[in-house]
Amino acid sequence: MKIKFNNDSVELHQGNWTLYDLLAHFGFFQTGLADFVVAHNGVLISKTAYAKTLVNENDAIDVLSVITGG
Amino acid sequence: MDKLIIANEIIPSRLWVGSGLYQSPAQMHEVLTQAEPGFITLSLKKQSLTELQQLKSEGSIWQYLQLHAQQGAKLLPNTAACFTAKEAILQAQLSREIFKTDWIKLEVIGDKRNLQPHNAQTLIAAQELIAQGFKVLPYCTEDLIVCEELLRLGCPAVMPWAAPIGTGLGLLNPYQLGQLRTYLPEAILVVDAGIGKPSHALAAMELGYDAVLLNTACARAQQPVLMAEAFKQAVQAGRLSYRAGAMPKQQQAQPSTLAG
Repeated sequence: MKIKFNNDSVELHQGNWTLYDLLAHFGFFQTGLADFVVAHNGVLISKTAYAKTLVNENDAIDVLSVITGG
Repeated sequence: MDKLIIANEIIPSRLWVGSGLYQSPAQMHEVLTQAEPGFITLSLKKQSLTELQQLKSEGSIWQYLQLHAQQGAKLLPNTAACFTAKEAILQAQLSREIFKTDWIKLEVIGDKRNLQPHNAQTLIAAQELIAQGFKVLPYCTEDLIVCEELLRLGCPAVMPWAAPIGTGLGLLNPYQLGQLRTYLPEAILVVDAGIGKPSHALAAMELGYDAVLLNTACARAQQPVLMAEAFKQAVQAGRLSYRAGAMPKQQQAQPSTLAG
């Protein structure tokens, strides 16, 4: 199935993907990373909800973290 | 004492500084160290794995920002680059989740050319965010009615622009900024955007503004760290001048030596 991940089109094998599965697949649970937050189709998903949030065809997932700004 | 208190929190300085546009994280750190700001603004963007690794590394912007927060500055996430209330609300929710703060600099842009705030969308977003428990500091124009409405909704302060973001043009409408101070005597007023020189910040403080928020004026100065010190002194001098009360202007000369 196809999704948008940080604006990029990504092809995933068919199956039941949760947000947790997806983030693990892309390596976002390895050590040495800054904290991040996730938006799923324009909705904030808290960490505790990753494993129960299903990812579907054409969903948009964004991983965000700090930048400088005024 | 002349403490700045907003939403029942003591803000340690009347100079608020943005973290953007510096040549390096180390330079940003030096400027923030010199400025000793009450608030430091920051933001969020989509990040790759590599970028998240860099943010975690020694000497990263995030490491320095956390250091300044530990030393007393408050982090003020913004909703920059949002053009609708819906976008700004999501950005605020994401910011609260990661930065663990209810403070939000609400910024909803209405025009890409001059980055003018969209007052109508700002009002919608402010109402919703306040209902969700945020302490909303909105970037707005110097429109009296908009400022009044934002305060009525529950914003603990309003932040009218002096001039378009990043221009350094200073107080383009000092008359109206002064009118806001006159008509809203109890409100916390902060000039946000358009400040270019310490004299601009001093002028805003002399009008009775409670704080000044700036970024580009330091970051694009030839010597940002020295400019940070200049702004710190200007804000302090402007506040003292406002409290002291300037003499009235007179049209005729009067000798200051009362010689017999």
